[in-house]
Amino acid sequence: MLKYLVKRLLTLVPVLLGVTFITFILIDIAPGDPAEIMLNRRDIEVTPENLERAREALGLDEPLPLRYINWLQGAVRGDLGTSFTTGEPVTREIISRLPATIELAAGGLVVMLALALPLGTIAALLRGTVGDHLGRLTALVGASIPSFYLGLLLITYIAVPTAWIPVMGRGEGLIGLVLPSLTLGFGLAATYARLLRANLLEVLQLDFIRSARARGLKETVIIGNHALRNALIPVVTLLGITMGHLLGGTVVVERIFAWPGVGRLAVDAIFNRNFPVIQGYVLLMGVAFVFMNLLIDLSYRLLDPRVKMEEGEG
Amino acid sequence: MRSKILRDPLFLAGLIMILLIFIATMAAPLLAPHDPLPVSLPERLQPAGDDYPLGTDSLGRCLLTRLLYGGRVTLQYSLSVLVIIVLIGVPVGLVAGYLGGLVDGLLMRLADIVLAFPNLILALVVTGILGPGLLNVLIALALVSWVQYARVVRGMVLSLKQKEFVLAARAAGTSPAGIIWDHLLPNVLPPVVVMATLNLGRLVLAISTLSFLGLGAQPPDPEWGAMINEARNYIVSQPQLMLYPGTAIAFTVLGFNLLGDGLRDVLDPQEFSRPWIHSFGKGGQKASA
Repeated sequence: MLKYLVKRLLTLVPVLLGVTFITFILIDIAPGDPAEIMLNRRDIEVTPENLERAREALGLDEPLPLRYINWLQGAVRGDLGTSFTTGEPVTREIISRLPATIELAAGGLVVMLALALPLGTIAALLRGTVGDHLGRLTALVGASIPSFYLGLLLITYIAVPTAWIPVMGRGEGLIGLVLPSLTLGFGLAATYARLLRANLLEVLQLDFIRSARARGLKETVIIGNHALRNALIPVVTLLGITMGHLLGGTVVVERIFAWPGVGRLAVDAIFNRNFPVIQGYVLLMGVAFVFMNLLIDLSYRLLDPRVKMEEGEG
Repeated sequence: MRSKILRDPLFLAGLIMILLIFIATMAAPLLAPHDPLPVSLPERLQPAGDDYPLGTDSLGRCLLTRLLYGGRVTLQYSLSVLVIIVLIGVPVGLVAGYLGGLVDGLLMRLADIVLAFPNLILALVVTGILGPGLLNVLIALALVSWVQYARVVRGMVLSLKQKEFVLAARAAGTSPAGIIWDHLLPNVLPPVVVMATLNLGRLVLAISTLSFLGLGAQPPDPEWGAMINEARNYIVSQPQLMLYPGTAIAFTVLGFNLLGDGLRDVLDPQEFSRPWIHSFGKGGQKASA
């Protein structure tokens, strides 16, 4: 178990190195001189001397590989440079925004599971009936509505008329989390319910279910005790697939609801060409995504005795 | 097979929806009552009427016209991205899977990196660094998406190349290129078609989402996501400004999803659309749903 964990953690290293290095190269070939951008963002006059100083401060006079190594050394110590716009350390800016995003992602996850688990199970039980077809159609429609559109619809037709749900920002307790979570979780629930249904149906085809049927067990017992428990294994694995959409979704939802999370920070950074913040965001998302998948992988390995820990690929 | 798919009402509905959207947007210059770009402030926020069938937007431009032209942009760019990623991903997957070795090793490492990231975030960051604009959105989406095709095709080739018909062709002295072209390509195409159809829906969503965030289509160019972004300040007083493009996006994506879903039922090779089966493959179940 420990050996497996260490091995998995070691395979993450080249992935994170690769992503951050690609971002570095992209920033290098991107239009615009970072030193000039930084001076502009801080309202410092662009003179040759100031440019020279800014370049030195950013380490731009050094070749790309060396700059990357310097950045890495800083990153390992938790130093991701300073924001072009505020002059604050990038690490501090990201950490201050992180709770809002975690809160939102958790809310989205809750909405997704609360909708998808019952719907997926019911669709599998009603397989082939009108109810199943309706479920399929609902899921397909749900997955087709862009989240930014859904968010605006919720604001226009629920938040504004009722006037008791805050429309923008965070900080009015859990109620403010309702619409952003709904926006984030709804589309994911549609996809997830379909995946769950397909999985349940597959489990129901397995030998042990057939033998349970042959033994004359009640259908409810078969589903509740045998099938659902087994279907939960891939359900956990499927979380890994949806996790990426969840993280990606936070960017859009934070923008619509003026939610002060890291996604908003990143979009602002993109418009300001605030490269250190973008770079930090990429690293954060890579680490978060990779670790979430590792956790999921571990938990389903614990759930399913058939999978040996020694197996390399997941 | 053909009769089975034509009996699926949802597939047919998807087909009709997509045809409608294609005809309407491609015929935009013929159908649109006005020019999509010129601003006319005196005529801003007009209600629907004879002159403007759907009314005008906040800059006095005909909403119907911009809707038609906007769909053209969304669809053209989605299709372009799809063509690029299929043309790169499928050959790379075929060659890497069949030949193995260094190409394969490099591909898998690259796939690890790209797939280690939420797609939208990667596309967002790449577009953000390259600078806003539809061309950069196209580059970003192509960069982050082709790897999926390469990986799926490679996986299929790995199992296909152990099959007897491939071994027989090899024993008969067929060149690797011949085997790839004659024997492997025809077998990987059906799942690629399903994947591409479902992917089109996702690409429409991605392009409109990036445009909504301000990274895709730039004003004054019409694009559905960008139109919703422009409508944000008017969602309460003039909700139709976002309702038309929003519904158009959902309608188009739904059409592609229905098509893809229907195609999958017919063409689906289990291992392709249910990747998690491999992850506990030792159970040895043969799914027959």
